[in-house]
Amino acid sequence: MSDVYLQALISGLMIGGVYALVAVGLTLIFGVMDIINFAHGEFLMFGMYGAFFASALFGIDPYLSAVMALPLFFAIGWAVQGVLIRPVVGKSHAIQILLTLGLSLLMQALAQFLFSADFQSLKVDYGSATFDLSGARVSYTRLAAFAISMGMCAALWVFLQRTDTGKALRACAEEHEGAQAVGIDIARMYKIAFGLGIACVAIAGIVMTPFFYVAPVVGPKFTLVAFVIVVLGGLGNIPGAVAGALIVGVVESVGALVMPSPSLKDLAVYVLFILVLLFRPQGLFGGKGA
Amino acid sequence: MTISRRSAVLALSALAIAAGMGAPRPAMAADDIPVGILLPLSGSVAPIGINNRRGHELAIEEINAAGGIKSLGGAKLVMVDGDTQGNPNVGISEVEKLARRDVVAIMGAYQSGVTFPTTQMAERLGVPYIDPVAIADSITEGRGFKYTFKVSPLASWYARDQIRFVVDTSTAAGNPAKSVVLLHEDTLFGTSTAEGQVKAAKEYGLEVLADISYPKDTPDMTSIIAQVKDLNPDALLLVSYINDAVLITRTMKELGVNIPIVGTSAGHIDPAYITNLAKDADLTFTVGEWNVDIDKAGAAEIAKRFEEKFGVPMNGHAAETYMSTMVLRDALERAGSTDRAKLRDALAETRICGDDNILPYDCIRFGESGQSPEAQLVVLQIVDGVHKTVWPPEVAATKPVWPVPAWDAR
Repeated sequence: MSDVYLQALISGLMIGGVYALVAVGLTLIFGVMDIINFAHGEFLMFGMYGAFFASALFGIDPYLSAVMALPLFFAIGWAVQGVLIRPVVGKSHAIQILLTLGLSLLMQALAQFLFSADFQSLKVDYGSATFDLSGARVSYTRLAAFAISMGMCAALWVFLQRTDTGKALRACAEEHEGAQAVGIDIARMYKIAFGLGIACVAIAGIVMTPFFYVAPVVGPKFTLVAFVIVVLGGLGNIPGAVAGALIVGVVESVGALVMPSPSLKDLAVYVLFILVLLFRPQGLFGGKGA
Repeated sequence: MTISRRSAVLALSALAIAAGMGAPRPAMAADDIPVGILLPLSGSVAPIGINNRRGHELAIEEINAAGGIKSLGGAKLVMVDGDTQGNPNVGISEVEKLARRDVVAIMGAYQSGVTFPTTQMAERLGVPYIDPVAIADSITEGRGFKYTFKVSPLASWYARDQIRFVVDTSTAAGNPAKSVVLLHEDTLFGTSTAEGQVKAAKEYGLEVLADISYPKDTPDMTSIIAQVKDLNPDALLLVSYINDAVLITRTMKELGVNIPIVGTSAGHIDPAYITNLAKDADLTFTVGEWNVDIDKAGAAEIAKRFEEKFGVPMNGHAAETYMSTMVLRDALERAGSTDRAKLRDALAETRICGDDNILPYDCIRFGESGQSPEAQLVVLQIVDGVHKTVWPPEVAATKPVWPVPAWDAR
């Protein structure tokens, strides 16, 4: 039976890694702009479709798609921020939520119209190859998704800590007016933050395509999980989001074994969520600025 | 303001058209026999309703081409459509409309939720009602209806036949199965089927090692499949929609779980299961209503005519609606009358056996409740990307591959 738990732990960490990249994008956007992007999962879905069609039509490997997606989705995020999000920055949360929620519905309907409601999966030869790790099976594609996601999170962290643009982004997150006062172009920072957030989530979607299905409705589940993770880790806190994601991944996976029915595994996650809101509303790892 | 006569006429005719009164009725000769076809022909389930209708249409065309109903002087059958729109209330009023249009009998209505109340109305009006496709047990069982005749198997027989298949096949392979694990999605479809599986397993002496439900949008099934691997049952019975069905099979391959998968129609019979998994779909079992390759003389021929006429392959629903129309023809011949009460009595005496019945069992006949007691499901196995009938042995096209080999040996 211990094998089963080891398996659950490993697969929880793997999927948690992907959750981390989804959540980091969400928390970055929130940290810098104070906006919760409810259309986050839909960008993940478009990333997945991008990789699916690149593979189905042109035979492009999804990992190559992931590399190409970085500039492409950064540009998409940049444009979406400039056109749609900018007018509501600093407005009431109700307006922001309506806008991003509306965007989410629009993107789902658009995907259904363009790609049909059928779900698809991308087929790669190495899709279900595995290796043995002391009794547990580890899938190469899941391991790759984990490694790439963690690598992206680390790269983002280094970017924020070491580069001038990164420092400017953190300054915006900490204090908008102060940042403006020292000559930081806030409007540009917003676009960069949104572009980076969208690129992260799209890549998270793409690295999942070798083992996960693609459908117009795939997004909301991930938006919800990412939201829980972001609250768990502290809104705007990037290392907190990574840690929160790994915790949620493991709780989901092991919860499916421990709870009387796997249907209740989400319950474990939400109980944790409510407990954190009650007793540590700033999140397990403190608020933004980290 | 005065209204000209002309505009009044225009407005009236517009109203009439809007109300459907202007819709053309099928041209009917004096001795034609109107047959009510009650199906969802618009709304979200319309594609399935339209496909069901094709079975009736093909059968009626063949009956008329062969000289109509001979005991009634060669009278031709004419379809009269009633569109339920997938809505029980609309269905009920359509039954009344069809009854007023003198149909001898009604066939329909695909959805159990519509068939249940519409059979009630037909019973009250004394119109014979043949249910080709809807499966809910409640349509016939315990109601004491005289005018309802159900050709389709009962919903609870899906689980029964899955278990019978597992017992038969594993015994034939020389290693009788002792245990199963049930894995199903957690909405009504999954949970109600699983209840039936638990009962059937008990009845046929199989131990249920675990009864596991999962939410169907779960992104990762690894820990659940690891648990199944650990329990190591002789078969895994699944009730899944398409995306979870694919995810489960993939995860089983990843974890190297070589347990036969027995699906419950739905996701496992969906062609998308094969297109998404390619050769990893092979060797999956699923129960189904019917399959083109079943060993019944004439089945392949009828399926060929169907595909030529409509350009789509004949599926289980169409086979059931086709046979139900043949049941009606047979009863009309024997009744020699279009009187509904006489037709009802003739239907109760139905006995269409052997190769005259393309459904996967010997005789179509009706028990006390109106249910076809011999009705059963088939089990299909995917071989080289095609569904093959492997059970029951009397109609199987090929032998099942059981037990299934290890993934790396496939």
